[in-house]
Amino acid sequence: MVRLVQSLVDGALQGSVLSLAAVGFSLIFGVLQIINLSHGVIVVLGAYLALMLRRLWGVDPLIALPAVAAVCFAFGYVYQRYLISPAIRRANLLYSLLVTYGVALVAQNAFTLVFSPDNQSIRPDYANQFFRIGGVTVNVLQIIAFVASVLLIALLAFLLRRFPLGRTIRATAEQALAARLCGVDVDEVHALTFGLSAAFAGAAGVLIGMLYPFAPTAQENWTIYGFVVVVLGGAGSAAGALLGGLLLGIIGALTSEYIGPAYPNAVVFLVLVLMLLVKPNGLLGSAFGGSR
Amino acid sequence: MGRPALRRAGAALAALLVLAALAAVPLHATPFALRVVLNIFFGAALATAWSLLGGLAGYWSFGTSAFLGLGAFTAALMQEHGDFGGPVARFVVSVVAGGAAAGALAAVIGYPILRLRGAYFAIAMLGVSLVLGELSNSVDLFEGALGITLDPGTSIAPEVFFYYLFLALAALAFGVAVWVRYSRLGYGLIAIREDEDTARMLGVPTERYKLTGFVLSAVLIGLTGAVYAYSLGYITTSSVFRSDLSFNVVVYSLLGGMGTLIGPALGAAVMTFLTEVVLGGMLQAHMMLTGLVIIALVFLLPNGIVGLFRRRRAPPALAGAPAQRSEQAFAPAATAGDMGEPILKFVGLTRTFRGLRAIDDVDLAIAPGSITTIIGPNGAGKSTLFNMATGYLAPTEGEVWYEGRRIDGTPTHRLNRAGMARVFQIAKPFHGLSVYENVLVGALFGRDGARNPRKVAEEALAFAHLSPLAGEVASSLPVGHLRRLEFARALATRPRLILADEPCAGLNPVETAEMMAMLQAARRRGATVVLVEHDMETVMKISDKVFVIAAGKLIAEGPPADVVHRPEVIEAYLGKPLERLP
Amino acid sequence: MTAPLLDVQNLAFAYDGAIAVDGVSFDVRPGEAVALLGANGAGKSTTVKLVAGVLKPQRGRLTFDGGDTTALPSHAVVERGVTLVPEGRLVFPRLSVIENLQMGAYARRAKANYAANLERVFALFPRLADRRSQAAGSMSGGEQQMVAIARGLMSDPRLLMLDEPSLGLMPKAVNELFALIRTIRESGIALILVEQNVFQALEVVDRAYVLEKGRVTLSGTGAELLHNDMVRKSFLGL
Repeated sequence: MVRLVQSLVDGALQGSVLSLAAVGFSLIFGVLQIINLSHGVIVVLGAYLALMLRRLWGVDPLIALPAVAAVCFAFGYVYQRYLISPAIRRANLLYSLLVTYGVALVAQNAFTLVFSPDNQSIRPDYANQFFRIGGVTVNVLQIIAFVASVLLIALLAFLLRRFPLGRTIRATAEQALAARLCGVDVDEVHALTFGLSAAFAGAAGVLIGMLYPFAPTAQENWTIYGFVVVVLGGAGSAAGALLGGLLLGIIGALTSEYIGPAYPNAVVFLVLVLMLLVKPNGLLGSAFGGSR
Repeated sequence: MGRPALRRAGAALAALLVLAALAAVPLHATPFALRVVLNIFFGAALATAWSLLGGLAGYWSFGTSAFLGLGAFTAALMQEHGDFGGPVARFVVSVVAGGAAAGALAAVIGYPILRLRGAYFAIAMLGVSLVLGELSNSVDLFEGALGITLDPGTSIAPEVFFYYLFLALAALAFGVAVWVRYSRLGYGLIAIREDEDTARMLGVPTERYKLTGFVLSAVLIGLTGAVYAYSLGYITTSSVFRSDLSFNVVVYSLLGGMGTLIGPALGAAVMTFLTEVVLGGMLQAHMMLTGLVIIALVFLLPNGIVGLFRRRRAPPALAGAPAQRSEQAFAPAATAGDMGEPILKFVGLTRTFRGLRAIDDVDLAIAPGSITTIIGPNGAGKSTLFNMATGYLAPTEGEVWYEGRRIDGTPTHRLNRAGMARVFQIAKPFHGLSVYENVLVGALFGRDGARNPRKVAEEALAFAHLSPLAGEVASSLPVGHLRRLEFARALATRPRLILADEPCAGLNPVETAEMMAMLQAARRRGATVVLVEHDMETVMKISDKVFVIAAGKLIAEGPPADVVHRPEVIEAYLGKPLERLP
Repeated sequence: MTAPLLDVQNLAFAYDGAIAVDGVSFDVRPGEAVALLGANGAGKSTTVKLVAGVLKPQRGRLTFDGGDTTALPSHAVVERGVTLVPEGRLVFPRLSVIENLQMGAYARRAKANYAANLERVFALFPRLADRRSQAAGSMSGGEQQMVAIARGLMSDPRLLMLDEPSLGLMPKAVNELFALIRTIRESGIALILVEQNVFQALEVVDRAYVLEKGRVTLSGTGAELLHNDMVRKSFLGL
């Protein structure tokens, strides 16, 4: 019983970070209908930025997080506005796949050149403290990451629901031409949305870098997890991303505990495929109307 | 010998010459050059096979490595554990087994997975490839972690041996692609890419065709994977279940020209040449440059390489010059059944959506050979009626009868075969195809296909006065012409019953008069027409009978002159009594 | 003679090689209602999209209220006071009626008068006031047209352009629509009406232009065109 609870707790804690890492991908997919194959490199970029800040000025990653998120926001904004959007205008929406694939290729190898292909970590010292609550062991860092992730996702949900920008994003996602005719600068909105997505990805990257070792090759996984979260939880909503990420984390943890540590990925991907066959829009459905 | 046949012979000869030239390469080239060309063939074979479903039908798979890896591992396990006599037999059986295993997987998962569209299909296939990869690694039976060694047991120099093998695979893939492209299957797949729902309504057996394309593609990829395993000599999970290969084939097709025959091979050639020859050297730098080149190519070649030489995306597959003269008659719709019996009948039909009664106990009968109009307020349920008649929706209660048979619940494409055609208010042409090709799809597939589809297509075009525009790409047509195209395409399926949704919406009086004439001409040739319309002039002029639906109920029926004077009709629908225009 | 509010000079645009608008010139005076008539493909929709800044003119000049708007993007054009209600209504389906209206008031000029405009809109469309929390996509065609026009009015326009507002509406709703158009006219907003419903359109506007193959071939007052032989034959089928 304790074993089960431990697995569930581990899964939820890991899953919260996965949610944060994937919410940006989900937003882009829902709002812009773009599959961002370079999503994973932005996550990894966040980790590397935090690494640099610590090496250069000894900044603790948690303190660095807002700055990293801001830098990633700026990067995402510029990336969408001046590369992805022109590419789509030049060709068509599907070409965003090619462009983001190219960027991922460039970025992953740039990271390898600059930082070496080896694993890095920004695990702080206070990470090695543990709590025991009723037989379940939890690591301080995991709790911090969980709280941070949930708070950030809640912030995004609040932004999308209550703020005018959120309504603008939703309207633009539903009917871009009509939004244009209401006076919305759609290119600007798309760039802001992408910036937001990148900010959340970068923030997740910082937390991930604190929790696990990371290397340039990890970027592919984070893009794939983005897919999984979208499929499990539903595209375009913070709640969907949270649900999807938690499920992903829990399934992974349960598999690891009860079937074997080599199997979580296999089971997760199997769940992905089954979910697509049964309920492709995710448990909460697509936030912006199934645009299949 | 006609011109198209001559062109085909010329193309075949050119292909043979190219093949011969490529076959002669090993006699003169360095091992390095051989390797590069071999890799081009490898990429070309994979990408061309991928394009059978991805380029033609528009179903992009991100899971090519699933079939590649499965083919590789099947061959490897066969090679290791099989006992077939000599090394040659063992090699051949193993390779074939690789292709067969991939085909079998496709056949098994195809039906459920092909129900997904667009990005979801792509991700699902990625998921499949990831699952297989993980399984091969974790499950000891597949020895993926440890690895398997393969040796074809030939005395020919490996780079030459595999050169010819991969050349053969690329040629095979290309041959299959050409054969599919110019067949009825190819046309159906293209229609699926353009607009799958419309294709199904016109009679294309979409599920069967998609599955066929999927399996063919898988077999070719599996065969290539098997040979690839031998060429590596030693395989592990990570050497064959490679996601980068899955994405590369998409990149090759986009670069070379999505949906074209030579595009995937061209893209493979360019990218392989770039990465191995021009940018060979330090791995990271050359990968980065590859990425930059891909990005640059999006801006420089938005239609792929082939797009540089062509203006339209899809050239006519079944080549044939459209008729110059205007045909008087089009293939007549054979009348079936008893003339006295209504051709379409609703009995106590009800449909509820979440508690709301969209259609409420409607009884309606349509006489064969008539023009009937259904009028009523927006949201009254008229489209729902049509949707139930054409198999889009099942009734909550009640029955739908067609030509004396009960049809509620019958799927849409089977009703097409039974002679029903629907024309939508929002025209849905196949945008990338020409006017002629659009109509040809109707002729090829409607009611299982006409015996002489080209003639039927030409006649339907003439009937709709579209012959001079036959070669124009559909996306360039204005709304009025698109409506006529919809009709022509529907007529090419030789229907006995035409259901038309507001055919006159957005047309000015001249265009409306043309549409009316077309409907009346269709009726003269034996078709029954049922319209939903708001244009009261049309309704008055051509209807034999009018039904009025308001709030889901039938509130009036009868000859038009009668119905429009009923107070309940004026109240609910007209607003004020109809007056003659000055 | 009052200076025109909108002055269109020699506008030209082609889609990917297909010429849609080929030297169109016309004007709209303050508070005036003008109709653009013509067959499908004549260039009417393209023209209003050019004025709205959704499409960029390849030739020609657009002057609104004395300022050059030729190269302005759509959001800037809305800010100047020109609003297009597009063909097909294009409401935001999952947003509620009130959210649709709030989106209509996105521009800065619109925010300034938000409360007054909202009151006006609800007075014009009492049915919308009753259903303000309903998702716009769940409404009937006629009601969605109301939402779309109301949304357009929320942007506080000086010139409102309606592209085929009667498309797909039943006769009763069409009558209500044209009554509404008359009311909007009376409030002093200039109007451009693109319509297939030629008879009703000519009765409600001051002047009209006929477009054929991307060019203006005929112009005059509503009454003049109603009695013009060519118009009667081509458009009224008489």
